[in-house]
Formats: sequence, structure tokens, C-alpha cells
Amino acid sequence: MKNKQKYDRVSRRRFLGQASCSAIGSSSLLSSLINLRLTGSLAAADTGDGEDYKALVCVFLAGGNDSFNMLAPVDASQGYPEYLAARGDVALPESDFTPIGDALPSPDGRTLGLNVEMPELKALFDSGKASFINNVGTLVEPVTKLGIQNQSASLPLGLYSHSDQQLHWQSGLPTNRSPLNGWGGRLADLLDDLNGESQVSMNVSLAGTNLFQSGGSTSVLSRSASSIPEIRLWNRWVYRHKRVAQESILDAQYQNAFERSFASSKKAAIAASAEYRAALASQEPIVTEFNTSNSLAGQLKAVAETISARSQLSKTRQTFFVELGGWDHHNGLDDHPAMLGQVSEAVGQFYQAMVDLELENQVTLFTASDFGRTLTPNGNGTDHAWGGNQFVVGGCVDGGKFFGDYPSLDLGNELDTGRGRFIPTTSVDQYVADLALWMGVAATNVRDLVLPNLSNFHDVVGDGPPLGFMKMEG
Amino acid sequence: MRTVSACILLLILGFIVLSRMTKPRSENGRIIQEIGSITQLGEKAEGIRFLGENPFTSEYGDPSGNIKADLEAFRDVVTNCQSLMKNFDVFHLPGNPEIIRFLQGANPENLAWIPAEHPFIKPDAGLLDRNGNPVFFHRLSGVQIEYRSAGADGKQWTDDDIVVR
Repeated sequence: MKNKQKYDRVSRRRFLGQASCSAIGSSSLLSSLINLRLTGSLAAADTGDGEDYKALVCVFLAGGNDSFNMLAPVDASQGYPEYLAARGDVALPESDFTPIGDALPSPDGRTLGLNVEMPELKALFDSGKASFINNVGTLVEPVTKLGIQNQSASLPLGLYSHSDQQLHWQSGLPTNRSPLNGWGGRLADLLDDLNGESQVSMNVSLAGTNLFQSGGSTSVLSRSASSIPEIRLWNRWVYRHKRVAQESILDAQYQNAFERSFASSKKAAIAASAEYRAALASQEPIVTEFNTSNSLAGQLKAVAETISARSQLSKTRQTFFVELGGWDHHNGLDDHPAMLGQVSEAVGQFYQAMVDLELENQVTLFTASDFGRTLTPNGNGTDHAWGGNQFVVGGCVDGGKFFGDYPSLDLGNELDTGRGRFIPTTSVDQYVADLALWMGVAATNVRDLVLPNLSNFHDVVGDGPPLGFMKMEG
Repeated sequence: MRTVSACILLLILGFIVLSRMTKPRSENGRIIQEIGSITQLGEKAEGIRFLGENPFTSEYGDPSGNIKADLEAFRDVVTNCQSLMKNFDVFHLPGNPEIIRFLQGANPENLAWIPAEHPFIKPDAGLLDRNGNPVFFHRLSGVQIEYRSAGADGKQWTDDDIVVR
């Protein structure tokens, strides 16, 4: 009988129904956004004026950051012994953490420490420019261990898998197998009307096309840290005849919709590339020193350069996507501290660049990663888990604090689904909602269009920001 | 005369079938299996319907094969499971032991692709390779899994690992 009940919950009919709803849900989000854009009132409804510049920078740590070795309990009475017992061979010495912030609220009382390889992040935390969001992960709805055990819980598709969890983090649609757009793209669809006329997208990626920034009407300008894409030799004298011929081909009137769409997209891309190049060329080089041998710092330098050209690009709202891979540490965590150091250095230099541009209150950087990792080692390394710890940096961050519950590291607790795989106590939707609200999206649009899953956790219209880590007046 | 010939023929056929059913599938004492007993083991748990012989039951651990062939046989069974349970990615299946239990019938359909007991399956560790080490199931996506044997050195993520996707 029990099994019959389980069967009912995931019957083929119900599955097909849910899949259809999911697909329809995704496309209806898009059509709602497009209809609102056509009315011309969307952005105005969201912000009132478009004077203040704001940008979000997503630092994606691809592979699953072992964030319980980034931020760990270090108090000798309870936290560190618990950490030591759970992490076994991958536990770091207590001296590898620097205590930060106040002790967690009573009755918890634990003190958290940041990996000593992250001094820049510690400095930002101490100065109130950075905060941590604890045990955050993909969720469809609040979940209990019992619900998982008796298979009654609705879980994100492909839990513990790389590609699916990356999709869910970036789309905010954890029940959709093939999401068409990401929450950053949907946010951009809502806010792009605040930007002036420009061929250059408000979404700039330093890590290729990505779901996070894909929207219904907004696209992604993709570049590398060292170069801006252009057709080779396009502007060279020797290429002029071919260029005229290609422009003629692109200007032709096509009956076929695909050909027409391809020609217009390619023309727009060529124009955007030229405009972007010209805008960056017109800027004084940024004065902040970046360690460009640090690949993340190189990407963030390009972000800073693009932000410095915001006026030339007529932008008041932008999103950026940078990525650092190599976090899938199944085979030992030996290089993990150095990678944390790489992130810390890059983030510190980027924040300094924003200070130098006097934009530290206008730009917020946040991290995301596939998932946390198992507390218990597999031998040398750790395996895929679920909830993990993230951080946000910016002048508008309510800094020096921890948001969301830092879980007990006692193995087998009510959040542990096995080996220290923690059920997230904060959903990606709650994390993202604070950022979307800060960017100026109206609460109703955050709920209905950007994060359709948020209502399962929080009434953003009635109760405001779910976590409150952003200073909204900033 | 015809009746006698038919009886003799039937006897011979019966002998051949019987001898095949009782013939050890492997000379390795740990992995001797009989088709009949596998089916029996598969249905050991109440309400579980064992789907019968498949590449895993017939090839996994066979002395004439190797670890790569074992993993390929297992992969094919998982693929078969996914083609029947099209919502495979809905379930809470973090790794090897959980996926093995799912394939043993701990699923809403109560279908078993692999037997409840098997020389290369341990309840807590899940599926073992023929060296006796747990196979690592690396979840790449909701349906794609990388199967990784530690190889001869018994250590995962070293050069001699045998990996099948």
C-alpha cells in the first residue's frame, strides 16, 4: 500500500502533466515578459527612474565548491571538534581558519572561521562589505529528511549531478529539464528598458553563453578576458571586398524565417562588437592592479573595464557572468585552499576597482556553485552534496554578517541525507530574490516573473526581501 | 520407432538444458551464480518483480571479461532502467549504494533489474568491481552517470582507473 502511494505520486500521467506544466510555465513566463515589454511600462513600473547604475556580477565556481572548508566552525568547545570528526582526512587544522564575525546567535553559539587563504575576503567581511549566505542550495519546496526517506518530497531534478544543478542555480526553475532562460535573463528582460539605445547587450559574459543570462528578449555579449570577439580582418583594408559582399548578403531580404533571423542576429552581433570595442577604447585604462595570471582576476578586470564604459554603452543596469572551474574535488582537496586564495585575491582586486571607479555601492558580486560537497571524505577528496555556503560582496551589502542557518556538522542530524550531504535551509530563490529586489525589480515581478518558485518559501510581496542581506536604500 | 526417437531426443534436450542451468557461470568461487537462483534472489524481497537476466546478471564479474566490460554491462542495465523509469532524475539517488537499491526494486514500480543479493554488491558500499572495491558513480547529469573503478591500485582518481560513461 505504501508503495502504491509512492507510485501515485510519480505516476506516468502525473509526470507527463507536470512536465507539460513545466514547459508551459516556462514559455508563459517569456510571453508575460514580452507582453509587458510591448506595453512599454515594465521598467518604469519597476524603478521609477533609471539614473542610478546597478550591476550584478555572478562568480560561478563550477564543479561544486567544498565550502565547509571555506567557512568552518572553529570554536574549541563544540564547532571545531564536530568539524574534525565529520571531515576526517580532509579536515584542516584549526590554525588554517581565522575566526570572523560574532558568534552565531544563541543557543548555537559557534564561532565561524574563514580559510586563511582568503585574507582579502576577510578584510571585506571585517569592513562590512561582505557577508555569507549559509547552507544555500536548489530546492523546489521546503524539504525534510523524512520527506526524502519516504519519497514524498518534491526534489530538484537531477539532484547531486553537475549539469542539472548548474541549470537550476542559473535558471531558478528546478523542476524544468530544459529551461529556456535564466533568472538573470528574465531580470534583464524586465530592466533593459532602463538602458539607453545600444546594440550591446546589458548581459556580458566572460565565460561563454550561459543559461543565467539568457532571457526572452535580451541576449548575451560573450567575450574572453583578453579579447573581444570580432570577425577576423573585418575592419582591415585587405578584407574590404569580402566585407562588402558579406554585408550585402546580410542586408538581403529573406523569405525564410531562419535565414532572416540569422542575418539580423549576425548584423546585430557585428554592430555590438564594434560599439563595444569603441566604448572600451574611449576609456582611460582602469588604475586598479589586477593579477592577470589569476584567471578569475583577469575576467573580473574585463568586467571592471566594461563597467567603466557604462556611459558610452548607455547602460544603467548590467549583469556579468564569470566562471572558475576545477572545484570538483573528488581526488583530494590539496589545491582547494589555493583556489580559495585565487577567488579571494580576484574579488579583493575587483572590489578595489569598484572603489576606484566610485561604484562600490552600485555593483554587487555574488558567488554560486553547483552544490556543496560531502562532509565525509571518499578517501582523499569529497563527493557531490547539496547545500553549501556562498558570499556576497559590495558596498550595499549588509556586511560582516551570516545569513541563513549554518548547519550543525554533526553527522546524521536532521539535515544530513548521508555523508554530510545537507538539505539546504535557504533556497537559491531566497538568495536570488534579495539581489533581484536590489537591482530594482518590483516584488510582484520577482515573484511572478523572475522567481516563480519563490512563493514556496517566502511571500516577497507581503514580507519584503527574504534574507535582507542587501541595503535596499543604497 | 518414431516415438522412441522423440523420447530420446527430448531426454537429450532436457539433459542439455539442465546441465546449462546448473553449470557455474564462473570459475571464481565468489561469483558462481545460477540463473535460477538469481531470479529467486531477485524476488526475495516481498512485492519486488525481478525483470530477469540482463547484461549485469550474465556478464558482471565473468572471468572471461574485465572491469571495463563489467561497467559497460552495468551501464546498459541502468540505461534500460532509465528508459522504463523516464523520471529517473526525480529520485533521491546520490550515489552507488542508493542507485543499487533503486535497481534492486526500491522504486515506485517495485521493479528489480539486479538481484537482491549478489557477490559484487554489499549493502552499505553498493556495487564492487572485481577487485572488491566500490565503484564510484559520478553523477554528471540527471541521467548521465560516469562509472569509475579504482583499477588495480585500489585508489580512485589515479591513472589506472577504469571509467565508463
